[in-house]
Amino acid sequence: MSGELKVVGKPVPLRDAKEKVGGSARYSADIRLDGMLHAKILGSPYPHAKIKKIDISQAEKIGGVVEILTYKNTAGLTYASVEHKPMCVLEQQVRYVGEPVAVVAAETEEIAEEALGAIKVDYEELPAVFDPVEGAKPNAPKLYPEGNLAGPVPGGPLIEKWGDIDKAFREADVVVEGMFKTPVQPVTPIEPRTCVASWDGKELSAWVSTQFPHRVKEDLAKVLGLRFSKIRVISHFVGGGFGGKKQEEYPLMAALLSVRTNRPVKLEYSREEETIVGRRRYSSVENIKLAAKKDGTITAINFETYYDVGAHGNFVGGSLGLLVSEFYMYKFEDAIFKVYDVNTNLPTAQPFRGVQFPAYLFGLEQLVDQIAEKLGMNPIEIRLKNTYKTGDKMKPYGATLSSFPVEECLAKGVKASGFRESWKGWGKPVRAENDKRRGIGMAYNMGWTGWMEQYATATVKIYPDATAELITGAQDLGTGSNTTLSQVAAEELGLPLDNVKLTTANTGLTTEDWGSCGSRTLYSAGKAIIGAARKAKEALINTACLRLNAAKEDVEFRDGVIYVKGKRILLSEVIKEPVSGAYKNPTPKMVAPLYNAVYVGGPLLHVAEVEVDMETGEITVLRYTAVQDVGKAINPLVVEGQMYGGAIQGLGYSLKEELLFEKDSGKPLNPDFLDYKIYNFQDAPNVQVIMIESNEPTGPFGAMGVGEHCINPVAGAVANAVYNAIGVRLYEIPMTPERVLKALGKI
Amino acid sequence: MLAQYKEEANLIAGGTDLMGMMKERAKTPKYVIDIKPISALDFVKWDENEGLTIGALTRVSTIVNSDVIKEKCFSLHEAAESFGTTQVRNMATIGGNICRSSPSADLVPPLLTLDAEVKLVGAGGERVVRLERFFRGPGENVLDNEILTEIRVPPQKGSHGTAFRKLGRSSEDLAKVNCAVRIMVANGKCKDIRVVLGAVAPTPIRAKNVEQSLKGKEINAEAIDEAAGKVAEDISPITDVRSNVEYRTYVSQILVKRLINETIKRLAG
Amino acid sequence: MDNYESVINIVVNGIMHTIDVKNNWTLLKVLRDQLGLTGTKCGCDKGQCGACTVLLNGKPVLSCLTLAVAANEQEITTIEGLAVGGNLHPLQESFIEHHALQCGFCTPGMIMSAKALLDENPHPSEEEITHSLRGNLCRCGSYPKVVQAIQDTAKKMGARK
Repeated sequence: MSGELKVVGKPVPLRDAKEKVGGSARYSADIRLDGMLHAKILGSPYPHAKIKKIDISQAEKIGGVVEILTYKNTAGLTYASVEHKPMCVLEQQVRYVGEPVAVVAAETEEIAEEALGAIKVDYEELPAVFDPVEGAKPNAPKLYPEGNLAGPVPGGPLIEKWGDIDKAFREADVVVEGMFKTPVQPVTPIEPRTCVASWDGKELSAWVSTQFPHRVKEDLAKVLGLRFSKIRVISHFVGGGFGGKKQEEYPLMAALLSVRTNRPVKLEYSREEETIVGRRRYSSVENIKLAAKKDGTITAINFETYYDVGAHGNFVGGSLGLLVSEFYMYKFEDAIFKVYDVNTNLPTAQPFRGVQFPAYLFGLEQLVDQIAEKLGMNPIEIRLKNTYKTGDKMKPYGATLSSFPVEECLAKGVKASGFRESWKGWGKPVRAENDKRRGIGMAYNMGWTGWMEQYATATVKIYPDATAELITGAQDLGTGSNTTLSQVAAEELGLPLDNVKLTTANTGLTTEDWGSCGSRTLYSAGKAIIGAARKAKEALINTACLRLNAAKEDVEFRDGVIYVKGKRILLSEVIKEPVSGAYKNPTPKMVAPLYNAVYVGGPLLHVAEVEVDMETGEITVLRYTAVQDVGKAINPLVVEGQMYGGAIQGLGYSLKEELLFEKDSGKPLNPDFLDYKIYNFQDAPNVQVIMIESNEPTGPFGAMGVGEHCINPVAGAVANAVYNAIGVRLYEIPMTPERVLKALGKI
Repeated sequence: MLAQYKEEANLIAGGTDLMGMMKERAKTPKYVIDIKPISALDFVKWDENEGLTIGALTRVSTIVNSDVIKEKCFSLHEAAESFGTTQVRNMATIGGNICRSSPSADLVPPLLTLDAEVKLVGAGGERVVRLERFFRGPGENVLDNEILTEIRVPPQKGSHGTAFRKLGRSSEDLAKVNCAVRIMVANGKCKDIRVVLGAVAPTPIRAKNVEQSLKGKEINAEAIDEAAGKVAEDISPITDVRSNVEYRTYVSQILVKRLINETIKRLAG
Repeated sequence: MDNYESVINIVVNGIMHTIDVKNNWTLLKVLRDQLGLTGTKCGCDKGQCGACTVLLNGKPVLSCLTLAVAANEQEITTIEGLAVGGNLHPLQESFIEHHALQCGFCTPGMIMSAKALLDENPHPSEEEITHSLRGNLCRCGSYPKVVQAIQDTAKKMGARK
């Protein structure tokens, strides 16, 4: 086989681009079925309450109302997900403003809405808590009988430590610390989540806006009491997920209504419901302390953090149990990580792009800069001194770091951003002119991939006409995986991309996959696809050997054709029916439960250059540089899109986005685009993205996942740049003009 | 029709305000009267004697593209250009922006600095009201089952400079604070000045203390600083989801100072 | 006698339709539900995201804030009306080529806004593009690629003349 790649590495257009630009792409809300009913949700007006009485009799009388769900007629129907506490489809105890209390299915949306107004609910209000530090206290109002701590250690924080932390701080030459606060950031995809569920008396079809079609299938099976084979979840087009569209209540509601009415039911979230009943990032209060020696070695970290995971969240939406290695950021000789995942009477949290890292790096990277400043080192030196390098054994479990070109990454980032030219030194802005101050700052991160690697499977079929079919349960959310995974299959098979048909996004037709999250899809599904393609080729060659009476070493499958000792034979003369291969990734070797023995991930460096108006507090991002090791860009266009997208979401997190709640009632104040500002065309600065291709040995064609890490360092980079500009640090994001002026002492 | 249906009816022009309010059930009119087809109210006219007259149903996009408004009333052009989004500018009307009577209405401060008047027509007849007298409070005005049909900006005597700016959370936003300034200068002295701020009081408000401080004085940095410093006496901002009292108070002063300087610069250049 | 329903005549993508509508229905609802043209998306239903952008007499408007009755006797162009005879509009081709879309949900609205911009301003600067399209929100971050796609289209369409 020739060494040159023919499909992988090429900037091919998205396979589904034509449907998307032409308007024929059908997202869940575009599905229309005869006799379809429309469902609407009634949400709780209270942040914490028990439903004493719910009277739907008046609502039921309204013409066109077909079925109403309440906690009473859905009692005992619970579902469990790794990412939240066990939940009922509808709870009797409601724990956030907007939590669904009833769902009405009616002939039209208007009638359904009218019915909502006719439902009478008596609530017994309960005391509520909206802050994770308050919620963790023993006398806080309890959301659950077992208390508000939702971490992996029942009733307590999760603590991980190694070394001698007290000694490290005692003997330190420099100690820096800070308390950092980060906001609630709803996922805010442009597509509000929607389900169309259709029960035909025997089987259920559900079109769902989800990253986790197979898990949703399991939830539906449990709640409806159906076998898996009777359910298919279809998700051809999903309008963005970013970690927030996984397992949740709305498909279950729509499906129950469909089963009970024997009609298709559509449940489409409004924008407010998408923000409130949809999922969001934890908010956090981080107390971080670092100890360092005067040679620049950061010897220890003390990390005590409270994550607000909302009404039904668990540690996965907060600390993630410290997985994905906050540990691995720098070589801490001694450490203590103490994390509280706290339920509050706010919308439920779920891992949103980058999980703990955007908040972690907002704090950590500022403290690292502070150490450098105290020691007279520059920001590049301090990081190079303390990062892990390829082949290192990492604390605390001795995992080995796979390919990790950190020097190259930092060097490229510094060069591309013009850091050395701009940097005037600590305490000196890049430029000071009239009311404007310019600053430059950086942040570093370690990426990850391959989460739940063993839960990826694929089947590849080769047809007699030298076309192939790739069957995979991996879910494309706009992440481009439909295209990149097809490229992987085409390359492995030696066929043109157009000859590879993709069967996906229908759990009734595909193989299993855990779901798209954690930057696992390309890496894990890609490996499974290569495995399946190889098995298919092997089956093909075995068949060829038999039918052509040839020895294995004389037979080759290349460019869609069989070669026997160099003689070219059409595939259709060898096989009359398709051959296939199926593959499931083996479980990788672990060094500790859920910690891989070989850590796969690449370095990132982000550099932000900002200008601050000292009188209005406005921060303008003049220039943003993002360098990331992607292993191998299966499709450079797709990778660039991800890197840019992460930077923009990260800038929103750093500078603009914050879901605000009324202080005493927990009512969300800005659940729509009017007052929850995401970046628009005009706001978005120019972002320079640079890929490093280190060729990760364990990855499919050297590739690693890229989608999440690109958001992680943004808040840290911007915060460091702002400090360089104005000489004052910000400890809370978003860094709004109000917070800047407050930090400057002007208001 | 308004006289017939009274509180049960709302007029709809561009719909960019009313539609959102109806969807949120903030307004639930039984009757919605579509006045968009009244093309006679969609015009921009300039006359030496009458000044600038703009029909109430003139789209914001028309105002952006109008050369005569750019020439005669630059701050209004600036306000229209920064207004909303392209789609909203194609739908929203100047009459709608005024009648919505939001304290943060963008088109209003420039008009107020230029002593604009509005014509109101009802079943009983028509009347002309100074725009300064039109607003009563947030979302409240003097309309009494009437339609606002046109806005007139009288011709300004002497050369003057105008400017408008707004501060928001992003490039497209409702204003945290907006401000329009008009200045006339003679012999290095401020002959006349109007400063109007929005989103910092129940209605768009003239900063009379600022105006009085600078009027008649020699134009220099100290005088401008001193005048801008008076703005806190004129405004009564609140804390809401967009910003807080402290910030609005502080930046109002900055905005006034910068806009006065900008206006002077425009006059000179 | 109060009238809650009307009959409207609208030309959509060159085809005349006579439709019974309720007076409080939006143009977005009529396009998607009555005419089955689901290419135009509902992202917020309040005119704040731009996903519902269509051309009304050639001008980009928010169909979720437009009453269907107000569109009577008007000409509407939706994303489905751009391709002619199976051939994609140069903008659509350019979006594909430049990877100016990821999840694609905001894409139809964005392309309609871009078309209107190029109709009015055949050679927009980057600033003009970002100002003109700031009402079309994208969460996936396709902004720079969209700008490239529009600039490239302008070049190609200019070269054809």
